[in-house]
Amino acid sequence: MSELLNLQPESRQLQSATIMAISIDGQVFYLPQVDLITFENTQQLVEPEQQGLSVASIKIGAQTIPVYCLSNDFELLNHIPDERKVCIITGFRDKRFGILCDKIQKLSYSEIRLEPIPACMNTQSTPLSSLFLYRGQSGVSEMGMMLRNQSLFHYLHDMQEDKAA
Amino acid sequence: MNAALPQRITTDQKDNKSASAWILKVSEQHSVAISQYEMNHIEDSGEFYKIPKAPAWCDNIMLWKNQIVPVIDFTQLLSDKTLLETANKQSSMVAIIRLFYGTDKVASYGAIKILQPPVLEGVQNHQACQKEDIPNQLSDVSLAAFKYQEQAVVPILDIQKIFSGAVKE
Repeated sequence: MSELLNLQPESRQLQSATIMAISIDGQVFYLPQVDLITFENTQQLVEPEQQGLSVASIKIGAQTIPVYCLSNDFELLNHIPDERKVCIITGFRDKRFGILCDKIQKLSYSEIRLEPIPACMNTQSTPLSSLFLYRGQSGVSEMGMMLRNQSLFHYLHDMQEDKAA
Repeated sequence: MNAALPQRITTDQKDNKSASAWILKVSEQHSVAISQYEMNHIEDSGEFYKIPKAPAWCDNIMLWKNQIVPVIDFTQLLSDKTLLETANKQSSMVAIIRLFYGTDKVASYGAIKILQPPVLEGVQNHQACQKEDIPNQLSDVSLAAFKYQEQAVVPILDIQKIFSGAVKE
């Protein structure tokens, strides 16, 4: 089974995928497994290393990585709710960062279909990369919201720029 | 489950200058119109998915015929919200609109939240009114307007503009 989501949402072709289901305040988002570097328990968190939007840091090997806490509508939180138990580590180019979530689950789908976010939603500032359709347990089509490492990175970067401006 | 089929309530058979439009009641105070041929289906039990960071008037998605369909809630575009309009937020009845066919010949659809089943109305030239009569919040998304029952102004929606992303909050 392919673990790569290498098609563009506009292609609307079916593909197989291994995806991490990430729960934040009861809302589930999805991240391709290929975008996940590792995940850690939040007990590993330490104070943020630098002033900014990160709520904590985590040491992975010799690296200290900033960790961000998002609400389920993608607002950046400056505190860590009790429900956040897992820190997923992802990255884009040479930048690694952590996102806190309540739980994480690995799922495999034989057929998912990526779909672009509808144009009328004007969601330029979002960590969502696309939507996708999959067959749920009851056999009925369901919809998921896909995060990607790149879209998360750009979202956090834009938030940082806005704060600095 | 599908809603009962909407009724065609009036048509002036003698006036060949009339055109048919669907009247959609989108709030207690406002109705809007779309072309007869843009309406595709009425769904009265839509399940919505909220998309974070989307504009409030367009932050829901529904699945229909295995397709992702954005749902417009006009009460969020109109400023004169009332308690009754709050009920519309909880309404799950939608009109499903045919937008266009893409290059892959797959139809694309959008949906509009409505309070009650729409009616197909014959609209005649003398009902036309000034675009200035359209509520400000809807003028940007309307092609024209006409007077309807008790002189209420009904904007004719520019469906392609609404669903294309050209509308800014």
